[in-house]
Amino acid sequence: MADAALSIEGIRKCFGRSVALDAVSFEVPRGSVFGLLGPNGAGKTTLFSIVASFLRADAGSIRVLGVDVRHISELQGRLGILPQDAVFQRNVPILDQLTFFRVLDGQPRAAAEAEARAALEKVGIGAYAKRGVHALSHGMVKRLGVAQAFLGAPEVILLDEPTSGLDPQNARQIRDLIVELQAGGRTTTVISSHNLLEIQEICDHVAILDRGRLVTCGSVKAITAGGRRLEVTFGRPLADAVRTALAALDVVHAVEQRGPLRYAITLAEVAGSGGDADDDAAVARVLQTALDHGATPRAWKEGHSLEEFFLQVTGKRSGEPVDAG
Amino acid sequence: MNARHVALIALYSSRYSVRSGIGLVFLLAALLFGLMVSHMLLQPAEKIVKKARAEGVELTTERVVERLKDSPQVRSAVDWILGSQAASEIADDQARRSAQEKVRAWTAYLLDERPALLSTILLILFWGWPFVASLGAFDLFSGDVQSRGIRYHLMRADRSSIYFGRVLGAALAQGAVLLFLVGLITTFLHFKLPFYGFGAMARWGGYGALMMILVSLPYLALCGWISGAIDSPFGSLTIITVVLGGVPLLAVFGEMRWEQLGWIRYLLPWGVQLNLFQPSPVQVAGAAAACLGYTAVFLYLGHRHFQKRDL
Repeated sequence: MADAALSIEGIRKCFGRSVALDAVSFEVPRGSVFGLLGPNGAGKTTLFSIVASFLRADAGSIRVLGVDVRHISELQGRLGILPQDAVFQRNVPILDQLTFFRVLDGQPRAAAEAEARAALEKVGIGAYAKRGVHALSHGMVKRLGVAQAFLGAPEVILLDEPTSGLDPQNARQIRDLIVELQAGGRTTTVISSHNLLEIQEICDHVAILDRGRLVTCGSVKAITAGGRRLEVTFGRPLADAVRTALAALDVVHAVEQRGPLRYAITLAEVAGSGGDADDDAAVARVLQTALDHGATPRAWKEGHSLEEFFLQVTGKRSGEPVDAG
Repeated sequence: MNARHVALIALYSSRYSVRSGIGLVFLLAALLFGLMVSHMLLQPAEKIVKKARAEGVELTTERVVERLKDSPQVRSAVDWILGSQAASEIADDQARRSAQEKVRAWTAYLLDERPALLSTILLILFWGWPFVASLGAFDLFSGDVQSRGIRYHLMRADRSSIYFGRVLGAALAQGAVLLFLVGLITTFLHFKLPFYGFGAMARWGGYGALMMILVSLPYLALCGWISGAIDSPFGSLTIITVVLGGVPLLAVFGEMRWEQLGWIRYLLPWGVQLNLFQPSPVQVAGAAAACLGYTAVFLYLGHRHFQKRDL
């Protein structure tokens, strides 16, 4: 990909005898909001740390905006990172810390301080500018971290689990903040998270890691569209007769209940079909059959949810790459 | 490495180092150590002055110094420090006599030609300062690496700039504390013992402070190396203390069994640092070069490790 903001090639990292990352390669398109997914221990934070040059890779290379991260200082001011569990200095006012970061980026002190103040105001903690980090709640510290990552409007921003440990209200504020700050369109944001709904909501591309290996990488649209699946929410639970009728259709392979009112219907591969028109016809037959049996579909969508796809691919033992388009 | 980043990081870290708990502990330890040593050694001098005044004897520098040299505190301190320095050089009787002669000349230089009390205080400070200096430098990196706070800097400055910036910052902070401490002691001594001219005291105090700054550099570089290699501040402090104290102890006790073990003291500047107070400029220059050499080696090793390690 010629226009990649982040290019990862053959990254391998071991901690002692444990392999944290093995031959991981993918690219992040410029201007995208890219989600990095994976179960605990998949290697997401390790990969972030290598991109940020906190950790040294055993093999492979990473380029951010065309610059090898081994020369990360050349990216001064163009790369912002929210490390997962890095702690701000306790004895230094938060304004002074952010100002110092911008001074290191090359800004004159007065401009750096003005930018730092604006960033703190933007995340709603401007009143604490002269206080130490000990005066902030957990949610405020996360927001300070986000402010730090977006400071100076860098071109590439890495956010490692920006909403972990936050209550829903604070998590929503952080997500809104990311979307708002992203709105300029110049920025490429890479977010690692366990919250798949969050990733599906704000990301347009994802990569999934499992046990240190890349399982899949592609656009969210392509990943969630695959699989010939139909997810239907009905007004009330389906009677056995309705389920039997749906399962008996030649276009239906299986019907599974996924929630009190939610059903996943896997469409069968029918010989000689495969076009969009055939898919539409199959969906229409499923919905019509449900209606004929007195079950009213309230909502439906085609394809996987990201969560289903994630569980499907990370449930595999082998971790072999899955083509997601 | 970026010189601007080095300077910025040095100023930032020296500015905030004293505000941290560890910085305050260092500052208090430095002042306490310096002032306690001064107080301990000032007592015999004050007694001499008091006695002379009571007897109505005229106070001259020569008279006070003569009596000071006879004071057990001053004499034993100087003999012990300078004698232990010469001990490694003793090979046979003739060499021993020669060494003792050198020590006598050295003692005369420090006590007769220079303000005696200030010389004694500086000698003791020289022995204790590496331990005090380590209090101000054991956490150069370890705490920030452990808490991962250093990552906020790593994405904005290269590792070399961070490494050298922080060591330089610690050197600036310690230099300022040393100048203040020696200035305070010198002024205090001048008011307590006015028979020394302030010019002579200030010159010798200034020289002593500069030599102390010089000798603290290799220990700071050593602390930087260990602190950059060990993620726990407590672990870093423990290892630094064991290394600083272990090397001279091993040398002293080791050479009792096997003379060659005395060379261990040259692993650190312990074996050469007192030569900074020698009367011969050649020896002083040699000791200064050795201190800078130790600093360069420790900086190189620490920087190399810091460059390669995961942070």
